[in-house]
Amino acid sequence: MEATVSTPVLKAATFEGMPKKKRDFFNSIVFHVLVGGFCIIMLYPILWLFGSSLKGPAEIWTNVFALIPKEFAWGNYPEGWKGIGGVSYTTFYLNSFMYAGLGTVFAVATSALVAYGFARIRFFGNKFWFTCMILTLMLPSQVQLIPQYIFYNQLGWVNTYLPLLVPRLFGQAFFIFLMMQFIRGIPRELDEAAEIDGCSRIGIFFRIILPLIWPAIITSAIFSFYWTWEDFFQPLIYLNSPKLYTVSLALRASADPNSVTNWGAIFAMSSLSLIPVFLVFIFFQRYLVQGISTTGIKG
Amino acid sequence: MFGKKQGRSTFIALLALLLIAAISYACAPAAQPTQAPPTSAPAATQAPAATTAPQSTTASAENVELRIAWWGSQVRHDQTIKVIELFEQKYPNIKVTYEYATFSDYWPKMTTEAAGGNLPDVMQQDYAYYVGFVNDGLLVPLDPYIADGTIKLEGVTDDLLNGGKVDGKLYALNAGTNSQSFVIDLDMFQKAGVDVPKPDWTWQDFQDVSNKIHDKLGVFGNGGDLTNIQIVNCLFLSLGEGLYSDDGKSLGFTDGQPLVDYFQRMLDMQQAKSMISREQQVADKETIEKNTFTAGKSAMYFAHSNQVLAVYKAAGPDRHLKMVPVPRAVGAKQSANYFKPSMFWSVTSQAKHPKEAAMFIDFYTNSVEANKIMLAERGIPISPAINAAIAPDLPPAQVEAAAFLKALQGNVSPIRPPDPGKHNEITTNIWGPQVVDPIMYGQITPADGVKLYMTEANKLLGAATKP
Amino acid sequence: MSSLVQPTTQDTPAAPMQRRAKKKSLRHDNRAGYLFIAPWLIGFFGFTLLPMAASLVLAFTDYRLTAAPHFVGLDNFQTMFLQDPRYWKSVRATFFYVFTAVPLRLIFALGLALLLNNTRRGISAYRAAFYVPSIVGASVAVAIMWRQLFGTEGIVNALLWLFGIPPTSWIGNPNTGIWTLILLAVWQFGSPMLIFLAGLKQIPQELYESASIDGANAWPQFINITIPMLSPVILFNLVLQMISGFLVFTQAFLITEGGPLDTTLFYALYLYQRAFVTFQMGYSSAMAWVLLLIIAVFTALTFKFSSNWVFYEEKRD
Repeated sequence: MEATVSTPVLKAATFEGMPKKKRDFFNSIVFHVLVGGFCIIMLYPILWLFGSSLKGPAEIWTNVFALIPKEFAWGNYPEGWKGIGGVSYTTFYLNSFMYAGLGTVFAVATSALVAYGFARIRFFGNKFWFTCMILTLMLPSQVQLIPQYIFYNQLGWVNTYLPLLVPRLFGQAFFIFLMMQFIRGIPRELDEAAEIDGCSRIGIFFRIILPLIWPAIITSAIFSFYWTWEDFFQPLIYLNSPKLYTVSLALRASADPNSVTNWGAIFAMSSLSLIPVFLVFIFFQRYLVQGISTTGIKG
Repeated sequence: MFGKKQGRSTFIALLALLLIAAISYACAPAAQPTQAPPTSAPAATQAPAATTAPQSTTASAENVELRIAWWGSQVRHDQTIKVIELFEQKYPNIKVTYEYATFSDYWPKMTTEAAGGNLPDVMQQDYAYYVGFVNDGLLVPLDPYIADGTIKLEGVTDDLLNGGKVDGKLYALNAGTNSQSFVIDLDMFQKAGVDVPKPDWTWQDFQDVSNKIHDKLGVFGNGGDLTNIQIVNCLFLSLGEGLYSDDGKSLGFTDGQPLVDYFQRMLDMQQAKSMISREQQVADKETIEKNTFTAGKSAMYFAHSNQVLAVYKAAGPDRHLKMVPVPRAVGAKQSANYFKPSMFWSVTSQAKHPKEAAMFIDFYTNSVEANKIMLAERGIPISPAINAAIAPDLPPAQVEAAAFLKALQGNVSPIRPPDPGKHNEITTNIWGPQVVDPIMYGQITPADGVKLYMTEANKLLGAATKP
Repeated sequence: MSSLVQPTTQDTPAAPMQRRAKKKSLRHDNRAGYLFIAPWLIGFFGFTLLPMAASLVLAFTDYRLTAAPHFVGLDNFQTMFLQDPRYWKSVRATFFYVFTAVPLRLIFALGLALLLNNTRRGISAYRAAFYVPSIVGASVAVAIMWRQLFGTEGIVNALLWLFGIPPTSWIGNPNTGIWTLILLAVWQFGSPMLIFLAGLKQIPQELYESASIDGANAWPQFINITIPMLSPVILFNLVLQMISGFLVFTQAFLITEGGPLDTTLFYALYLYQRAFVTFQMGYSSAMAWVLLLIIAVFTALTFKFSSNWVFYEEKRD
């Protein structure tokens, strides 16, 4: 089997007349030049950000366009890490990891179960509830904020992570719908075969469905982690005590365009804040690369 | 799954939501957010405040948890937190929790808290916002605390306090004074052979200076956007008027011609390239640290005196900078400058510990140690004793700002009454998008733009007075 | 193969009765259904429904956050439709964005996902590189960064100057301002790309193998296997990108704040300004529910027409 079997559209662009080996080599060169070049364009802004994080206060707004600073101001990093008013980024990172980590686990795990219910079981009201769920995605969150706040305030949840985390325990519409679409791509014969073998519904979910929608779960986890990590508005509203602040909230609170701001430190901490998200992506994408075992799926 | 039934399902779902909404609105008033804002009328607000924490002026001897909120950036956060720690040392029974955010995040957070009846005890306030809070009964007058000596205002002149008064009651205490200024680059002025502007210079002089500097040096005369409503306020102030009338029920001027001339001047300067183009203003979105002035590409920059420190820092130590007052309108009657409380401290009606809140405001205002930490970051302190005490410690830019304000003393116009509650709506929805942008992008003439502004703003201000 | 080439969404009517009956037992089960979706239902009734309903009620009031609301009937809607020029500007900007940024972003994401769905050396690095722009998100840094890139002296002008194109203020020019935001959205195509990649992974390789044996070329394979097998995921991305396109907020909030001349005043941004800058939550809620209706119509239409091109493996009998 060829290594590059999966992307037919690439093959369409190959050079028909050449001998196969040479053609592959040539293809490879073209691929790397094109994709690699494009990569650099994609990455330029990020490189700029990292470059700026190493510029001193005298350089940061006067030598704006340079990627490499004239003088490396490594001090921006320890300076930025000190955080605000004695609460350092160590605290902010711990909070962010807790929030993004738990939030992701909650959201993804429940969403998978619910997705299975919606996608595979026919029950009274299925379509109605599904429609309701999609509708919840369409109302701008800004106008729901005040009623939510009043509700959580009466529960005594303000200034804790409860209003941020508890709703995630009940699944999130985006991930539910995403996983549903993947479940619906799985042939039903598999469920049936398992049922005939005496598998319960829960069994089918765990043994058949879950392994097959693994790419969707991984993708959801990557998104959920990132979206939670960068979310600042909910933490801004619900968290009062700076000891509870997340990284993205601390970053926003540090930079006001109308008063003295330590931009070098902001850029440094902004750059650093990309790393956990990036690592989560790198870690999880291995599972995307491997793909899933398709044995047992009828073609 | 989504066949023809889709449309019907959507319809039923919407209908159901509507029904539930109607039912919940009808039968559960107590649990509903429509009822939750505890401030249905200013009079009513004093009552709940009084039950939870009597408006008495006795401090609780028990342990008290005080909540304080402000906006700013990291430097202000760090300094204010240190001040809070000093306060806690002085009053061991008071434990302070604090909330900070940037200006643009602060208001969503505070209004949400107000809606939830959960405002902090002490709240930093802004000239353009606090009247709205007072009108909605969310702030309490500080006069009782001044009367009983909790907040001491020795030697503080009335002109520094008047900005925080509504109907004669002090709701917001000046946390620091600033005034409007242009920072100029002395080297550029000298190289271009232009004299340093006199304190009574006019916008005509401003235009001449800008053009001359541009012709000689090729740099912009002015960096930054001069369509800020604060500058327009100064313009009318110098003519003996103001942006809003004294009662806040209409604009403060009836003849829009000075404003028309002002816009025409901006357009002419952009035409002459002595001022950066509107496009560049919008694109580069200058901040006090990142702008053509700090980058050495323009000779003048508008800033409030408490922001000058940031401008000086970003411009670097090699530049020779100076602050001059804002230009006046041609034919001005008085100075275009006034002493503005750059921000305020106020006690909210939802405060659980108003007495301790007042104690913090007093500490911030009168503690030498606290002000040696703040070093006029929020503007020059109102207490003369404090000013004398911190003078030796001020960094050069702050020394200059203090000297600038001192030089203005006796030569500023009286401050206008605070902006009416509709100010935000007028600037956000009318002034910026419907007046400034269309004029500066050449879509409408300055005359038409000013006419539209006056009509629409007066309509909103007038409507606001209706019951 | 032939059944694959012909995507059908209807159950084949000719299926044997016996099989049908058994399937029904597996498919129709109220108890199990509600059990599985119970978590979502609890969340919906516990946390979502009340705020939604409250915002609907507030749409008919003059609620301004710091004072109790009063019922004002249809006033908000009347002002919105008849007296607010900025409202229509926001509608225009949003539709423009949805119909440009969303298709461009999806095409980019699909193209790159196809390109990166192989096992060449270094492919993970490329994939990571393409995903990185999507994680810079909502920080203040991205706003400053983007303004620098498109600034008067930014890298974009520098590059274009090489080709003899005169520099301009891309963000400040009313004709180009919105395009910088569209470009930003396209640049951050990482999330739909990942979803496409995951979808591609789910396509059984055997299909391609047997097609190759049958002598099918790359293009027919793409049309007959990749697209139909990927269609549920394409539908997902289309619907969700469209919804998030209508709700576009962050980029304009951080970078342009609606300017120049309100050309980037997206609906959700204007709604936010009304809610949290001028504190007109009643008006904002009214806007939000009109937006919900608009999105619902477009989503329903998309679902309706999806039966023509979306192929569900589960329905293939």
